[in-house]
Amino acid sequence: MNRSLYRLLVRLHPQRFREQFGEEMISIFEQSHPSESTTLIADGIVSLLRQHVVRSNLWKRAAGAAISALVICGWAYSMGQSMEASLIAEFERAMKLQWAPPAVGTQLDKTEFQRETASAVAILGRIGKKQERERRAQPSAPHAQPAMRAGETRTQG
Amino acid sequence: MKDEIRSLLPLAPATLHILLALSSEDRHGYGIMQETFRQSQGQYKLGPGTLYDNLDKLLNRGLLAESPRRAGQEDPRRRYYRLTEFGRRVLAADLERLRAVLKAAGLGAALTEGRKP
Repeated sequence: MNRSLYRLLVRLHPQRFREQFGEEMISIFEQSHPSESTTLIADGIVSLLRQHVVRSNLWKRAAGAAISALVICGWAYSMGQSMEASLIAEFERAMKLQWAPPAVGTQLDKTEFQRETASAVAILGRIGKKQERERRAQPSAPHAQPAMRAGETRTQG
Repeated sequence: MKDEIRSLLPLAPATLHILLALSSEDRHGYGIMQETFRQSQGQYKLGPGTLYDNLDKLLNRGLLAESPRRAGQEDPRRRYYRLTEFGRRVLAADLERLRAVLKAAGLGAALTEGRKP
């Protein structure tokens, strides 16, 4: 039973290692005292992991992937933080603009604005009246043809 | 060469024991395990997985080489390994480093106990 298990463990080692040392490992297992078989199986499991993970550089690829994932997560987190901060700042600015009590200067400007607006409206009103008077006083255009009534025909020459 | 040796130091305990086991004679894997057990007075026992992982590394780095198979009644699956000249230099350098460590440790112990080193 233990021997078959140990043979299986040896068979699971990478091919190059197995071909070079597999038979010797089995030979040592067979020579050892039966009481040592548990220790040797444990050693075989450790060896299997070592050959597949450490010696095959799998751990380097795994570490590289983990570091890359951490960098990407860190970058995404910092981007999220800065976006959140800028959104909060924008929101606060908008709230201040909406809810800020009018300052003294602003009140004065408002009064001035109202006065100026009223003045501009009066000026525009005067300009409009003047244009109306001029339009009425102007004779009709010399080449302007009167609108044709229904049923009339225009003769050429 | 010195830089290459220095880059391999300090040796891991398993590596040191394997090189020490092979410093006296060529051995097969099981022989290395037994010699390691004997050297460490039963304190350190190498498993086949650890042993062959280290042998693989040491063969690739040129510290060990495979010896010719021996004819006889031995298990034909057994392969023998020997220490190369480079491996012997690396072992010597690590033993020198350990001697310095032991010397410093002795000095430290003497100072702790208030003795003159």
